[in-house]
Amino acid sequence: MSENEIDDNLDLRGVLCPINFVKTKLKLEEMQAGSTLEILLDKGDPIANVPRSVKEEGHKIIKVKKEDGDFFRVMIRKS
Amino acid sequence: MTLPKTIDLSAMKSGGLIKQKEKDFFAIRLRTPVGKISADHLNKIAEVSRKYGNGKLHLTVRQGIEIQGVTFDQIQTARDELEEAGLRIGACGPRFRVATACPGAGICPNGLVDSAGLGLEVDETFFGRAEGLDLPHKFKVAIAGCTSCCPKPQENDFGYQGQIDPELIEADCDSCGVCEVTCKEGAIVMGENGLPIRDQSKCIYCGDCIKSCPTDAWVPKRVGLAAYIGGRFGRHPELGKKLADFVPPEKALDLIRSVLEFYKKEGKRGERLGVTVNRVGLDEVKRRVL
Repeated sequence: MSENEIDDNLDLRGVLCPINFVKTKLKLEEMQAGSTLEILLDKGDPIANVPRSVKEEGHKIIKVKKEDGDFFRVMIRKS
Repeated sequence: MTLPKTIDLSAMKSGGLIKQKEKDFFAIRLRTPVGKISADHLNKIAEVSRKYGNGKLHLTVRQGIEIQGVTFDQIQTARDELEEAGLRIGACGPRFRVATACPGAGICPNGLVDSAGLGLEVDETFFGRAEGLDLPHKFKVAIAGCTSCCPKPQENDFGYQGQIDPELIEADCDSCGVCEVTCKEGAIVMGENGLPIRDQSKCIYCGDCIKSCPTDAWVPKRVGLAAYIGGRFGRHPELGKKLADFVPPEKALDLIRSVLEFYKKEGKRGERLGVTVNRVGLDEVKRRVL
């Protein structure tokens, strides 16, 4: 599977903490191990907190890209 | 009302029994360091409150519990029953008070140090011990696990706050810029080479860059405690002054011990530590205690 292949995605812009993390967690739970989830997160608390919590759950952050319009594109590899 | 024969007057002197406005009624202040208490102990407190008090409890602002409405002649029996269950009595007066702390690194995602664990150690070391008795005035200690300072270490006579010094492992950085937008102090900017540059003069050692970094490129170089001295509330509030940065956790008790020695020697009766520090001067205090 290539690094940039995305199996699923979630647009979490405008979604507050910790709902954004819970949605990410639930989505990851229904995905296969090794597959890739792309999420969009606002700057501020969401980008500071969600990747950290995802890491703590044992998943891997493959890529984070800052996009115009104050949000981030985050790629997660499910453990 | 006659004095019950069983009452231990020396025990009353150690504090923790608060005379209520209503005649013959006392509140029993419990020693519940860092506000940590077992469900079994809570049951016991409820039982004692129903049996000897008026069924009402007060949660104090220092994470304590007071059993209200105990009549004078029942105090000793209530105390004995509490102590038999392993519950201890708190303090009032010019003494080292029950230490307060947040849950800290073991529980709180923001925690940098085990503030609750340190708080329990501090309490065990100084509460009711010679070093913490016969002080010029009350002596309150609070320990915060991170820079959010929820337990308000700067409002206590002595306070600790966890801090962390970040270091960048350049090879692990993928230039995503999360640290730049996460740093609330504006201490990190992305440089032209794509690597973050940290301005140490703006850094408050909160560790947000370390926690938010998706690739673990920011790592802790050292973890320690910021020490604050001389804070208080009351009629003339004053925030504690920074005494030291990055006190190693294993030296945390030693520094409090030095401060208590200094306070006993230099503090005038009825004077809070902050007033003593203002009179003597912070530089001189540092010279004496560090």
